[in-house]
Amino acid sequence: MDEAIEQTPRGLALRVNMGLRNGLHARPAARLAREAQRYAADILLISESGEVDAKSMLDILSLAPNMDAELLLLAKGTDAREALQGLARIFTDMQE
Amino acid sequence: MARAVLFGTPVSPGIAIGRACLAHASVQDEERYISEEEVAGEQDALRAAAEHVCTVLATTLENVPDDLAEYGDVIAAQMEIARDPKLIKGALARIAHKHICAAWALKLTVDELCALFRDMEEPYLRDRAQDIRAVGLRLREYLCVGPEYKNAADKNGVLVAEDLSPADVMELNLNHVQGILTAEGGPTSHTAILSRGLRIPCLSDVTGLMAGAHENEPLIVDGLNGYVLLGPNEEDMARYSAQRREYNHWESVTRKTAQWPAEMCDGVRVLVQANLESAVELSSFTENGADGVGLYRTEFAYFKKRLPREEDLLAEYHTVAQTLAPRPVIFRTLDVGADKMLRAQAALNEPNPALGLRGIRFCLRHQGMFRTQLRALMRAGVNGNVSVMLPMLTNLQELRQTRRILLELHQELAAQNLPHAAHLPLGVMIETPAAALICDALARECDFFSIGTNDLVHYLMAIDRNNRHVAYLNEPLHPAVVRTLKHVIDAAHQEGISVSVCGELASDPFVLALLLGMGVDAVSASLRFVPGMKHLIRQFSSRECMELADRVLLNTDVNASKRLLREKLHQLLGRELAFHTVNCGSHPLRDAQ
Repeated sequence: MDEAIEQTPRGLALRVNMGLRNGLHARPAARLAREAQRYAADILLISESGEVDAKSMLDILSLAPNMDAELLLLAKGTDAREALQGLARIFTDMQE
Repeated sequence: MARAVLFGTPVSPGIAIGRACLAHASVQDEERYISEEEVAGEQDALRAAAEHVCTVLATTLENVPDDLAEYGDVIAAQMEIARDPKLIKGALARIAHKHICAAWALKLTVDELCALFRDMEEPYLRDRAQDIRAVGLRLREYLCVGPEYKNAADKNGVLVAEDLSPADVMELNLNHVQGILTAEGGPTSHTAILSRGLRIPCLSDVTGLMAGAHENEPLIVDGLNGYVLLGPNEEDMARYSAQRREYNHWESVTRKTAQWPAEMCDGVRVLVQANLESAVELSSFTENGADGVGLYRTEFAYFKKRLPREEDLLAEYHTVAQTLAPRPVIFRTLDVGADKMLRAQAALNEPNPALGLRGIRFCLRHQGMFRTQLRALMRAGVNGNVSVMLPMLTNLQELRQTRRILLELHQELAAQNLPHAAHLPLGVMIETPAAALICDALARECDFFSIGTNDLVHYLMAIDRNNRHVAYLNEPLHPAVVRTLKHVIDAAHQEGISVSVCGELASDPFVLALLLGMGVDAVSASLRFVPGMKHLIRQFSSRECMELADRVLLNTDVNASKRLLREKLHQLLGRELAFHTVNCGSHPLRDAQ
């Protein structure tokens, strides 16, 4: 997973695929937000329709990504790498 | 306070006399500009409120019983909203930039977020606006009342609320509540189901409730006729106290006799069955003495975040069928549309979903979903008395197609070596004029009929259930309706199959007498009404009902039919008539009071 994390001018970036059968609903969105809140890093979730704060469930929901959207996670801060790894784990968990 | 009457939908019968207590502290919309020095204080207040609401919700979440797991999801989502940076930081920023008080900043932020979600295309996300509003209300309540803020947990008057969210229902100790009034809701809301289970008189959709009812002012809830009396005078109090005493006495009598069969004076027996919304209601099933389930609504499982799997459905159906065996349980296959919609359906964006792809039409179009449900039903049929009923049927092909699918599934299950019931009784719900007119042909190819009166009346009278302007046409005693009922019942009996009536109308004494007179085999209504209906049936005789039905059938005048029924029922039942919820022609009959 580490090799997928890229260094960009805006911080560390990781591409993830939504791959959720029924789209992103309150429960998964809440899980993501809760995980993101554990880190000090600023984390953005970026899709075609815009970029939002990954620590806000409402923000994530309002992004309303479709079922197999490509998302970009962008983290900046001391624990940015851990944050991206943590969030990626949540995504893999939910896809199962 | 002036004496006034408000009207609502009676969702749980009974009479309550008490003082109003508002479930939510009346939140005054404080809109105040503040000075630079106050900013930090207001921000702290908001943070404290958010933290407090989170803690309260967390405690509530722990106490959610297993059978109400779907409440848990809603509460968890609300908790997340209460600490959402978008909401909280948004409001904090507003306090600092605009120099306004916390409550006002919060209101603006909540309104903005709600507007954002309400405009979304996905119905699921649109509905989240409700959660945001509910959390906003709680936060503002805390800001207004301060740390002493407590929920109406131990109030014991008549609970008054805009609406009760699952979290509210969980936190309230409803056992001490005498009555419930909500400005929104409806007869199938959780509050309605719960209040019926706890035997608390309840009205929903009360117009002008929040403006009219004030904390601690006396009021009377008439859950039989569907109104609230605000500021009653002494005469009202005396009259309703007496009526409440009589009603409670009558109710305890019906409960004691609930296990007796519903046998008329001259020995004719009918089945009185229950309509169930979900397995949650099973716990109070036996004490109400229902002879099985005449209508099990299977939609509940489909309104979760993902579609149910066959095993989920099997577990639910198996529990219901096995718990109630050997009593029969009639499962209605998925009927979404009109008032409740799945996402696949909402995507069609039909201008008039009540006349659109719903019921069996939807199931035959989305056969994957339909087959999963039928497989679960066939497998549950091994350990119980399971029947299957098809909603919204309009032609023979739909019935034949379903039979073919059942046959295929039987072969499939046999090949997989899964135990299942190969030949479940298959019934048709008669709720469209088309089905009613070809019922002779349908009767030859299915195993039973069940008449869904609610939809049948709407379709026969060509009225939209949500359109208040034509609500006056919702008239079950209209000759068109009465003749159709007779035609369907006769056609069923001619082919030797049974026919039941499963709309809420069956609990209406006027319609019940008429149906008995036409020779219906079973009636089915909310569990709450079953003991009362049985008690009622035991006072009728089939001969009297038949005469009554004959005279009503000859009538072309609705009002004459009503007069006839009212006279006869008064003569038979006397005072008891007032204890039954009268849905039938609810408007004109109300003035008979």
